[in-house]
Amino acid sequence: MSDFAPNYNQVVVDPVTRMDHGLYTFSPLPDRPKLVWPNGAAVAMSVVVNVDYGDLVTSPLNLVGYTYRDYGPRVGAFRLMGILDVLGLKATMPISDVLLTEAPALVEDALARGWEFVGHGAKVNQAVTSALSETDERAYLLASATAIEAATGKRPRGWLGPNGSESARTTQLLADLGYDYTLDWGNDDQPYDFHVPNGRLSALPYSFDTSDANVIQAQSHTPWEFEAVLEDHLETLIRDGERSGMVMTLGLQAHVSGQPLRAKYIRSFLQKAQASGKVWFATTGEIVDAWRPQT
Amino acid sequence: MTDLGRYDYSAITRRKPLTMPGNARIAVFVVPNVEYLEWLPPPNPQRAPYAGPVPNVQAFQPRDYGNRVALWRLFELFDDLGIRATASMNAAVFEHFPRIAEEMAKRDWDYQSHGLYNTRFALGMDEATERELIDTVINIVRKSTGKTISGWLGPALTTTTRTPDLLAEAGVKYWADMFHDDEPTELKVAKGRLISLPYSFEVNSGVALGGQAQTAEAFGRFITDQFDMLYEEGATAPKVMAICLHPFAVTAPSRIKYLRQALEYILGHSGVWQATAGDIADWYYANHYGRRLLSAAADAA
Repeated sequence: MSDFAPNYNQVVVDPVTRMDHGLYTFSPLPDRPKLVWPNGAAVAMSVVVNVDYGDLVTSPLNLVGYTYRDYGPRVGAFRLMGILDVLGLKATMPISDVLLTEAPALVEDALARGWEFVGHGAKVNQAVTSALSETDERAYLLASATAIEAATGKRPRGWLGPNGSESARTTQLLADLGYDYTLDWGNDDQPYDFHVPNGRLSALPYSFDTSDANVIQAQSHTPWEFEAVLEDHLETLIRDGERSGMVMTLGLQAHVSGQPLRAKYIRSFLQKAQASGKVWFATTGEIVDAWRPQT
Repeated sequence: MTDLGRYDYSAITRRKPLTMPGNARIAVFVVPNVEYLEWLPPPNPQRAPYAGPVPNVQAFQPRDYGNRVALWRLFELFDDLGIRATASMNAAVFEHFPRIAEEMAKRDWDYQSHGLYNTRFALGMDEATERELIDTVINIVRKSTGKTISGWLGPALTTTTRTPDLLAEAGVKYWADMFHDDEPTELKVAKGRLISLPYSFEVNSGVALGGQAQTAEAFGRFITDQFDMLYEEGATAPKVMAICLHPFAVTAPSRIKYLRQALEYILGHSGVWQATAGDIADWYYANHYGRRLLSAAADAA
């Protein structure tokens, strides 16, 4: 009797998507129509500033982690905001629902600048998983939209799961609830659409390579190495973007990249990106809007 | 929402800027963590002192190297640069090695408790045991140096939910286990008063040279980069910066020159108030405590 299932050596291909799932269709880069961005830019770039709230864990007491994260809505987000203000740039802000009421100054300042709010779940330690029932997951995804609408007067168009978490049914629920796009997927350098029964849901690239959660935290690279990674990433996208427009999202966490020693390099990268003259800076929703008419 | 309940939300841009002695742009305090990891530590109910079996000769050695060699190099470096440090003490070090207390007292350093040993965690402590820990540490430091600790950093950054109440009651001026701000924060305590001073998880040799495995050269640049940004912002709103060091890590032969370069860089700027943590806490209580009004802009809004 084998320990392996009888289909262990079988390959099953979804005939429509070519994938092992039906979420979206495989699409090789050279086979796509040419994308064009405003002002003839090679790269559409959005700066994403995540501001998270996480519960205090009491056994064992996680005071370090709790207070470290709490630096984001008190200090880090404002440092990044100051840097973006000087450059004349707007950010996209995935924000834990809890902070919409607990950090009113942040909400007020982000609104005043026209930053785009993105649904991000109640708090970072409450993940979206397939263990949730469909009813519970739907309520969880909807709660962020409702909370952002209550705090800002506008329903969010985008979603980023807490810690990037998704269940097997998140994309169809997001579309059903009226979300236009998700930042949970980093498997492309251009936007694409999911197959959903109702509505329309697009993926906006959110790459590991341009995220501080990955480069700084998981890989332990220094702030100047992160800057170098971002410059290298942009250099290639600018080259490729001469053929067809590319997308770069800069995935920052307010409590990580908003630290003084890192913010210095974020500023320096953005200055260089701006000086290249090849980048169209936009919020994530604005990129989706520039892309959809071309599909 | 499971909240700490010790401070209210406050956006840094909504506060009236701090005013520092000599109109400094930045207060910099330097904290060598002088630690002792026990050979055969007693158990803690919530955390094992070492990852594997004990004794663990490889894990034991670095701090011991710190006390035998690296700390003495650090004294020499700080004497040369004129730095008065805030020693974050595993208080047992003073009992084991009075020579170290003697050398610190000679320099009139400031002391911050870092518990008894770095292998005796506060995690899960009942109130009586935690009170006993605080009293024991205060008494050892007082007996060894003639001075009272100005602040508290939990042993291996461990605390309980009642730690701030007990610290305030014992007359400790500040708590350093929080990482939420670049300015002091007034904390809610049952009796008395307590502030938190910004400690750092970034400019911290335990984190950068330990878990992150950065080079000493990179860590030196962490220090100066952190300084650059805070110094720039300090032109309009002065900031507090902690440099959190572990002698065994930063004054090892291959590493000390990078620490020296970073400290020389900082001290070479005008408008830098190189103070002890105790000095900073005293200044805050005397000039700002209970008076952190909102900025004029926020008032007008």
